[in-house]
Amino acid sequence: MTGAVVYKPLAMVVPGERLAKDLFDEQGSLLMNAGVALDERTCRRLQQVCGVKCVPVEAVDAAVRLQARRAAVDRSLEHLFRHWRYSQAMNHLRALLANHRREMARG
Amino acid sequence: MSVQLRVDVDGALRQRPGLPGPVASVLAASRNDTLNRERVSELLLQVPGLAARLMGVVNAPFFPIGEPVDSLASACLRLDSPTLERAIIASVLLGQFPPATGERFDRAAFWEHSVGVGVIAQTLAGAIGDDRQLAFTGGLLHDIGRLLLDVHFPREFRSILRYQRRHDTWIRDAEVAVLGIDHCALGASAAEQWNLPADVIEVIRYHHSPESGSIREGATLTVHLADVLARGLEFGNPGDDTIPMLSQVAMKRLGLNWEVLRWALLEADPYLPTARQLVRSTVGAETSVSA
Repeated sequence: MTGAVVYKPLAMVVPGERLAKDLFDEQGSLLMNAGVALDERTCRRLQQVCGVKCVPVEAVDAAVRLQARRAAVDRSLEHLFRHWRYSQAMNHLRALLANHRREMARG
Repeated sequence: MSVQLRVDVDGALRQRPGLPGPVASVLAASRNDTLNRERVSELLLQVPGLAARLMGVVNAPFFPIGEPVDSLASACLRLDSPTLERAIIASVLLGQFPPATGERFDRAAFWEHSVGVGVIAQTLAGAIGDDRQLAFTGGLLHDIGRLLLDVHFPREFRSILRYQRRHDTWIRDAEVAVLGIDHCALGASAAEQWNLPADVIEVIRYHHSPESGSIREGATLTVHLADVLARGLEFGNPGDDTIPMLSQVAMKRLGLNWEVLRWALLEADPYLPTARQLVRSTVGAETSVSA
């Protein structure tokens, strides 16, 4: 992390990016605390329910961001495949998905 | 422990509002080969928002019709009957269940998953020379039974979601544990009541039973595989955060291997943002069915 803050449209937020500042609505009520990791569902709800368009996120450099994305892919596949640890076919599928998603994360 | 609310699905569905009259007329017209296409076009215009949704579907890069069409009239005149019927079915149902307020089920994310499955299924169908439009439409509607649970059986569906979270199980297992039936049976029953084509009903009924001897359509198998792959990509949200077993039998019956699945993911990937866009532009239009 660089310590800098970047304002991003919600559609551009990469899952796992962290909110850099507390987020308030127009009435001044706290919506979300700084430091919260944003995911797709949170972004969608911020947009649809709270009318938020842009959010301040913690800026990270490209290498760190790539590493974080890869780690996020591995974590989410670990969770998704938690019931299939001993299935050869599902382990094969998991490896295929991991490679694909890591490639896509590289952009 | 099983909760077992068990519902008489057919009886319960009969008591629920079906598709609104004009929508049912459009679906019936799309199946009627003898009906003048200008009349079909007129009927489409009677359902608010439907014409725009239909144009969005037929011109999507993953709904293969060849050259894009520039008007509703030209879509009705140019497309052959099965293509027009599938496009109308997709457009009608995308508009029937808009996102609801509340926490229990994210319908926008559900539709994203469904369109994503359609995109991957039609890619797989293209790889084996199968019917791509059927694969897309089947993929789009494969989980429609789950949406019907949310819309028409909210109390039971809340129990299902609670069971699923408490037991950390696949949502289909939770459906069976709580209701005694799953979204496949419910969706197929509703699709029969709506007089959807038999091939689409088969996809809805058997996409989680790819070993079934009753399967006649390759689309049922491609949708099974596409569903697992879309879950693996975490594209949209089908209602839970697990992944069902990928059927080796389905792969064998289609003559597919891991390399083709890898290729299909790469091929489908550029279309997924467009799929998301289609959901945003179509789901949420006016509707007569409410929770």
